[in-house]
Amino acid sequence: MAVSTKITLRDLSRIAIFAAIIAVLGTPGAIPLPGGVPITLQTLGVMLAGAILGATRGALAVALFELLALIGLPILSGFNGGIAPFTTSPSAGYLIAWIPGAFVVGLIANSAKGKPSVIRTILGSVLGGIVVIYAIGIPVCAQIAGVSLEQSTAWATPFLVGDSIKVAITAIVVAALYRAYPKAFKN
Amino acid sequence: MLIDLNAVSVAFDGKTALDGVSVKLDQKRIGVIGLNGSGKSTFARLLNGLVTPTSGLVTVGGINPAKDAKAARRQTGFIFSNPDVQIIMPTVLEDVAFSLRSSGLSTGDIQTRALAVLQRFKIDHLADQAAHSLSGGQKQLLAISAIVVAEPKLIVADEPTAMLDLTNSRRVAEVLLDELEQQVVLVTHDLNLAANCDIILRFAGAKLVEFGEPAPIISAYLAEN
Amino acid sequence: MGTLFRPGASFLHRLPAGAKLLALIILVTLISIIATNPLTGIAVLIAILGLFTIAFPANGPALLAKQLWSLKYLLAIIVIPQLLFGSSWPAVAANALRLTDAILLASLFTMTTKNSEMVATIERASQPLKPLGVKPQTLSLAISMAINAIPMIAKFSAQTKEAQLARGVKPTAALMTVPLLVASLKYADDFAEALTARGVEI
Repeated sequence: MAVSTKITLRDLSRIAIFAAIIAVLGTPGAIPLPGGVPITLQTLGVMLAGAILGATRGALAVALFELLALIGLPILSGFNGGIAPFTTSPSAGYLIAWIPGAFVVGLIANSAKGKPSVIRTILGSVLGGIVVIYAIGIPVCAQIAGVSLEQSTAWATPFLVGDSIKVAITAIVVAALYRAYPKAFKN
Repeated sequence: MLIDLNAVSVAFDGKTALDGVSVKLDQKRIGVIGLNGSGKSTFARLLNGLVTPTSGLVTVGGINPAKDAKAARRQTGFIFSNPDVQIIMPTVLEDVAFSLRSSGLSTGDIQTRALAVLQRFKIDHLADQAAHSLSGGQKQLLAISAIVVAEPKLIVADEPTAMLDLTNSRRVAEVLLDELEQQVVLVTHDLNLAANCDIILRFAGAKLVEFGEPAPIISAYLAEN
Repeated sequence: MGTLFRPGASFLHRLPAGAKLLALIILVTLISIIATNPLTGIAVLIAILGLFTIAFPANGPALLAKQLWSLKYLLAIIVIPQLLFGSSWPAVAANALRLTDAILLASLFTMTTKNSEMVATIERASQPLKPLGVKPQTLSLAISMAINAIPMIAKFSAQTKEAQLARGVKPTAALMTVPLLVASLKYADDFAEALTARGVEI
């Protein structure tokens, strides 16, 4: 398992810049869908953070992004922010699950040194970017909204389409980024 | 302060960036010219330990930056071409104050000193503005303020006017060459700026090809390229 | 970069962030226990209206109305399917009100708490993590760096879009992301070099 223990200035800088990338990916208007969980490119940012920065730094980048939202910057989709989205909103579980989600993406997609593999990137994005996030998000949503698990799962289902597209985009982007800027994958 | 390079070579990824450079410098305004990739940026980065020699020895004011990077960075401030990468804190005053965070001064003293430096470079009216809303020239003056407030003995500027328009370039050059009391190493493509230095170093193909009086070196450089 | 904080001089603004956070947690828990019928839900909503008016004497009710309006989709999505599946009106209304009340309270917290105060609270809260290698100063440095980077990355994104349009390419997520990442990661590496030059240690 390639989990680095010491954070260097270069790591810190990449973590901060990736947090900002996730914020910027969320700026074009959000499309509200069932469950009040809006479609956003930010989960693409979560998958990319894990796949490019690796498990630890990827999860830290997502956590830093969420910290900025928590302290009151309107950077969640739909210019949202503050503590409501993380506590009292039905989508709170999904948001919090982004952190372990990015970690799992990185663990699977980024564990091979050097050239990223397409298969691992897809597998990691599906497991970390979809399975982990839904596994935490659906029950929390049911709990907060006061509905059954079936209802909560039904709300989440339409998002699978968008999230599958994001997995494909992650695979394409990671492969292209390796050709354009291999240094991105160097530690 | 004496900058002393003794047979210094630097290689990255198997490529030679600097090849056997020996020079002693104690002039107040030191200009560095040469084409892209000639080794001038590597030379600049040796002075505060951003780059360490593969062989040979660098000392600046008696300090070896490769050994004691912390002390070297305290005595040498560095200005980059891209002012955007140098700003750390959200507002102008906070960014200047950030340089003094481990100085042991009280918060009040830090604010006073930071504001005084902004006044000196006539950007104190921007103190509470978001640093990223500034123009390129103002950002570069902010970067200089954030360096000067820590009172280094040497300031190294790596193409500080490369991303600025004519007016802003002039103002930044004026600050670096005329207003600062510190010793300045100015890496530049602007030969008019280089001409105002006390000494010029010309790099080509990773080697220091000549150094001395500006005028003849600039003529030779223009003739060769 | 905007913020959700709205300046004011009320006692809610002056209350320390930590205490306010604790109060919020207690209140939200209480609401989830007591607001089991629409009437208590409405009573709590009126109490929250009172808090908004205390915090913002000039435009409290208007701000609350704005927050409520922003919840419209969420409420529609929660209410309509439950009614379709045959839940009773009062149960559905109580559920929607409970959720609305909790979200409004949390928003009020954010609207009356400065970002810098939240950062300080987070720094204090992270003190016990010190032995695990989490330094509070590194945390606040990271927060500042990321806040600063947002307008930069937004600029890269706008430049990428412009460059692609200029070349006659329709910018899509995949096409835009690669150059955006290259520019951003290069920026991150230059930034790390500048931090090093400024003698920053973490």
